Amino acid sequence: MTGDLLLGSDWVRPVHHAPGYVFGAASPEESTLVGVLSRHAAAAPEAPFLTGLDDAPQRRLTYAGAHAEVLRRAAVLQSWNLRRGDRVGLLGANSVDFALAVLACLEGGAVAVLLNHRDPVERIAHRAEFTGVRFLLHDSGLAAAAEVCGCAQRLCAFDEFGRLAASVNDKPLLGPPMPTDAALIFFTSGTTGMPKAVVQSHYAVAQNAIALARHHRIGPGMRLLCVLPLHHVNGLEFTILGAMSGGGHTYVCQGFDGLKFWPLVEEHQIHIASLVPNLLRLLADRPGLRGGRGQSLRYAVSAAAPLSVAIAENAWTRLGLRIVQGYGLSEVTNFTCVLPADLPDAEYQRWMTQGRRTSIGPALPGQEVRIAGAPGEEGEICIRGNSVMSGYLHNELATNEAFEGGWFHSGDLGYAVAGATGGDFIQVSGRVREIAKRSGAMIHLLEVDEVLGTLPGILDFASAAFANRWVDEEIGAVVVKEPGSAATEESIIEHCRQRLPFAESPKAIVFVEEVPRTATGKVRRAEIAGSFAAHADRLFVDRRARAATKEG
Amino acid sequence: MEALMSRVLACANKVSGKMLVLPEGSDLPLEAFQFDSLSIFAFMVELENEFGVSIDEALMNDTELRTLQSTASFVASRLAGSGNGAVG
Repeated sequence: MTGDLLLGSDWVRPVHHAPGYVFGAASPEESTLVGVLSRHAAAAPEAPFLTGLDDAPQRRLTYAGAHAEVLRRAAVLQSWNLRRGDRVGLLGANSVDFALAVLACLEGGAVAVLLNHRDPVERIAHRAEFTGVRFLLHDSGLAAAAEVCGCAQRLCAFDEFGRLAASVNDKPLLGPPMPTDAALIFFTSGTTGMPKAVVQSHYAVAQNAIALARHHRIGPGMRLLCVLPLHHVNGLEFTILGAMSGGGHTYVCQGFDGLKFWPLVEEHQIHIASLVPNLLRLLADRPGLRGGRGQSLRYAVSAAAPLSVAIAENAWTRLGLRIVQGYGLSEVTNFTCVLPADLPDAEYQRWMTQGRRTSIGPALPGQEVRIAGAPGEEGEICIRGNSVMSGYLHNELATNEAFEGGWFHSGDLGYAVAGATGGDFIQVSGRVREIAKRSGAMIHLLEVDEVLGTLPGILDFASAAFANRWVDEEIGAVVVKEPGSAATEESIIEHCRQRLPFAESPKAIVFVEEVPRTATGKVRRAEIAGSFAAHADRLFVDRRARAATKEG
Repeated sequence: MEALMSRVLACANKVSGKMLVLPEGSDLPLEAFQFDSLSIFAFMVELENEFGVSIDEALMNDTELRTLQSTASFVASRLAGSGNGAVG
């Protein structure tokens, strides 16, 4: 099946797939994730599926228990007259309830819209409205933020949603979703202008989760640690959906705590932990924290930002820890490439600790990677296959640009190196797009520039990502002041902070005579980054949030 | 010890972005600085840079770094162990 496929009531997008992988070729059981939970529930009802380590009280669900909870939650959604394709916003910290809500949406025919609870409320409301959120499920502590989402016909806290589900005996009435139906919506940008809302189909979500479960050999008894946010693809689509596809057991934490990491791994005999490079650096820099604990950990998965050879080497030599690096974006439904998990030591070291760069491995089955440009040379990483997104919601232009030539253009540069047993291993070498990766989160510098452009009393400006030991990359800006301007570093930072989340706000400002640009006027961001070398070791803290916490 | 406490306080304020003061003879729990999972590591690095000691083992049992006083005591013991008694 090729061509345009209806993915919702208001838009039509082509499905892109790799040669050799015919869309619809997967068995019906593998075309969506609906049914996966019920099969595991039938085969191993008492096998553990989810443990909420930070849930109060701590909570554990078996596959049978989770299946029943999900069906009842889907029935509650449908009792609200949910129509197939209705968008349900999810707003909250990591929890078992959050994961159950996502699964209820998938099961019940709704499209789950993943909202970041750390965003300013204006952005949450903007994104909810943009995606047409009809129902909003939220942490009870986020009721005020939820109230701002005026587009939602019904707001319901997760705990109340659970109580309603407990009183429902019905099963969901709508039939299972079509593989081409939209399943999940993630946001990749959109500070002030039109958001880029990535729409993933049930087919893409299922194919990625199943491929990851097979790659990592996830099966009953395999224990994964989830510390990354569930409103991002890695946290949700690997540690929850990937684990579920294989019948594994995920321990859900609200976040990463470096002091508790090894005790948690030890206590729960974790096999795989999914992290990002700056967190792995903390662990590798502090081998004493391990103290011989956590021998069950087979490897850590790293993604969201390139892993340096130094971190991989330190993890290998100081911790005896192997890192399985993956690569992907929301637009390709999480992972496209992953390093093989079972390489012999010598080959692992070849790819991860002995070269100039670490490798992200070959493409997963069902996906195809092409390096644009001459063979063997650096070029843009382009992707097609079963897991690419359906498109950006309400943004035909951006979708068409992203899929120019039938391939998704990642915006990352890379090159291919032949593997020992055939197949290309990909190395990521740089970026085409103007983005920063702060603690694994993508920040679009042009959006920071937009806010800088609203500053009074300045002639020119540009933001840049600079290296920072704590979050991989921080945001800085160079500014050319008008003569007599009273702008100070503090006033500019505060101006931006009022309009951007802390993560996206510039942390340091350097006043310059001229913004470095190319002959064609393009900002030389790499050159600007050098202006912030003095801040490479500094941890920037969100004083506003801390003050609010104290007041609260 | 008061001088050492003062230096520990300066490290904590620097990392946390706070400007807490410590009345003479009193103590402060580290919770007052609202360290999170990243900034507690930054605090450790700041102490190591300031005093030239290693902090890892202290956190193995999570007892030494609870208050400014216990942190300063730990740093003092490390300095004494390393033969560097110049704690100011």
